[in-house]
Amino acid sequence: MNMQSRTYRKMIVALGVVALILTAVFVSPSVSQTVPIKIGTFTPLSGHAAYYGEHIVIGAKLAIDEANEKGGLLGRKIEFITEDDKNIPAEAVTAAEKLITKDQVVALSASMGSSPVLAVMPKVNEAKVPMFVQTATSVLITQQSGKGGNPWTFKCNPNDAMMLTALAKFIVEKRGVKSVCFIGEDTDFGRGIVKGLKEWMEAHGVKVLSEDYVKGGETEFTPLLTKVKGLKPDVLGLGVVGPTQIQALVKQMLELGMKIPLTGRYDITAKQIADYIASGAMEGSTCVEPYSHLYEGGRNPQFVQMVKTKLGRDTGIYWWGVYWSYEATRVMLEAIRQGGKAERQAIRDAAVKVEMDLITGMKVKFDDNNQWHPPAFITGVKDGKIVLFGDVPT
Amino acid sequence: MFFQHLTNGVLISGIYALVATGFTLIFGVLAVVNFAHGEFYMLGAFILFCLSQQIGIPYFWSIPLCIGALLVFGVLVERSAIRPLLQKSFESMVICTFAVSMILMNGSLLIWGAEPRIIQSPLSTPVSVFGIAFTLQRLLVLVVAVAASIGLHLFLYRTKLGKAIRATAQNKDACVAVGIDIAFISKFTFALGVGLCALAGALVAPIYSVFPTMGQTAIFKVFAIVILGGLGNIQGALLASLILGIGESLIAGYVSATLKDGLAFLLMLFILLLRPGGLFGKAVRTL
Repeated sequence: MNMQSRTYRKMIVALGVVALILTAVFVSPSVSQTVPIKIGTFTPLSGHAAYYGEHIVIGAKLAIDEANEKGGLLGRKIEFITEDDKNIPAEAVTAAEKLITKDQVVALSASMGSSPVLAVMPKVNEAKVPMFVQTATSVLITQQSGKGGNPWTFKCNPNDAMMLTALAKFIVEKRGVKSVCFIGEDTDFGRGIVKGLKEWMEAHGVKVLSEDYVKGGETEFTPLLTKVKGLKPDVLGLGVVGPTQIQALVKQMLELGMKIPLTGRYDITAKQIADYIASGAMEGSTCVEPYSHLYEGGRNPQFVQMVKTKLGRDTGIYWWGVYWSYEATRVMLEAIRQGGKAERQAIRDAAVKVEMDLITGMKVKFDDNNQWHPPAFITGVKDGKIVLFGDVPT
Repeated sequence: MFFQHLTNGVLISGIYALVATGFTLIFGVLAVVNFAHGEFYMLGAFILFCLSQQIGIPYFWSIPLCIGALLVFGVLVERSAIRPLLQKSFESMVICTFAVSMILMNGSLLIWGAEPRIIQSPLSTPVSVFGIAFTLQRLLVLVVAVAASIGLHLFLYRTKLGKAIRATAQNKDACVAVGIDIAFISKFTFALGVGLCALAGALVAPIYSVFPTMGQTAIFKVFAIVILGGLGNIQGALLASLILGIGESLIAGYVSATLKDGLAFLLMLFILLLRPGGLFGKAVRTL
């Protein structure tokens, strides 16, 4: 009896072990398939750049919702986690740290501003997490990424140097600009814009009359504009990004009785300056944008319509933010799909090879600096309306 | 161009003075360094936006309504957040007002979103006098700032209530002994300070735009101004605003705009080193 009961007990233990192994083999994958793939972004959700952050989140969500509606990736849903970086470099590092270590995201899309992105780059290199840059335009990001630099950072949108040469060429050759004053934000973004325009313009005989920088978020431009008014330049080159800033600047120009065309990089589509554009106050102004909703190539008209429907409005849309966040998230998801695994290394290795069909109709692939070369768009004000002067290769 | 720079500076100083007056009043009487001051200013601008742009009440009629709303709000904040901490440490109050600031700023972000709003004022049209350009709205801000400063001075020195407020600032225990209602004085002063913020927000809003973080931009300069003028000193704040407004305008115009913001803090540093009580201030924390 004893022998029999011992054998019986052994059989039960053996069966138990087999059952456990079978569970591990067959049940675990199905459990892991129900766990969503986590991706994240750090972007300004409060502070003076919150307006942009809101749009960046909208763009990313559009791409994620599309993928989830099609059943997700690798049989799993995608979970999107956002962290607020207030567009401040130190806050961005903390936000990225949280996403990487606590949330264990497999890939990141990067903040709105260049300074926060540059601050986080060493962190993603150290933690080996692929990061896709959507809207930050500093040339330093490109220079420090890819081969010989940070292999984990991928820059999707064109950088300032790429866009500004095209703009400088346009205003000098087509508009006959001979003198310029600059006002830029005292950030990597603002200084990058001014440097990019200034180098090309000076080399082509344009006289730079002044170059000034204001703190990010500044709304009082009167002292600087008074100086510019006295210098009488052909154009005023800008590297200020917020709608608050551009609205204040144009308003204060009018208050001082100035009518100098603007150029550079600023949000020409901001709802806050629509009235000034319509009234003719900004006639002759130009700017270069990494994206234009006015472009009619590729699937862009459908995309524009989709965004308008989603937001329920036609104006007050930060178009570059929505578009580039959408494209950066799309390439991230495509890299996960092509990598075949929701793992950081696999995603990075796949991203290097991914060839993407952009909404604007162009095919792009990351170069040695992990930089895409999509077209840039030169827009401006003509007869009280924003018009697209053309797209230029970068 | 020099006179244009000078005019710009004087007009900007009006904006600084108007925002700083309420702050220095609350500090002088309640010894509360109100970190939420910038947010009350922002709230004033947003309420004015709702009244004049959304409901459609004419701009000048919206201003008293906006001040009224903020006075009530000031009383509520004083009762719920400030008064319970008046007898506690200075640091508790700093943390408390900082918390109020965060709640108001992020609350506004939730309610109104981050998009900057524009307020139209009938005085926004530019005018030019002897080749010097400005808007009447900026001139109005300057006139109101000077009037508010003089009015407040007269109120504090000529009326019974004003004298009670000053007495409370000097010695709370003695005031209790002679029958001054300290709780009422605290409530009244705080609400008055917040009301002045609403006035500043309502008048300055059409000059710039209205957005949830606008208070943060204003508050740091206000700190520098009240330290320069002496914490609690209304005339000092006015003069410090004038020095700063003109100084900044000339520096940005003739030297570099990057150095402009440095001026406020450089002056603040010198004042703290050489005259810690401010240009006209008195020692406020003694052991």
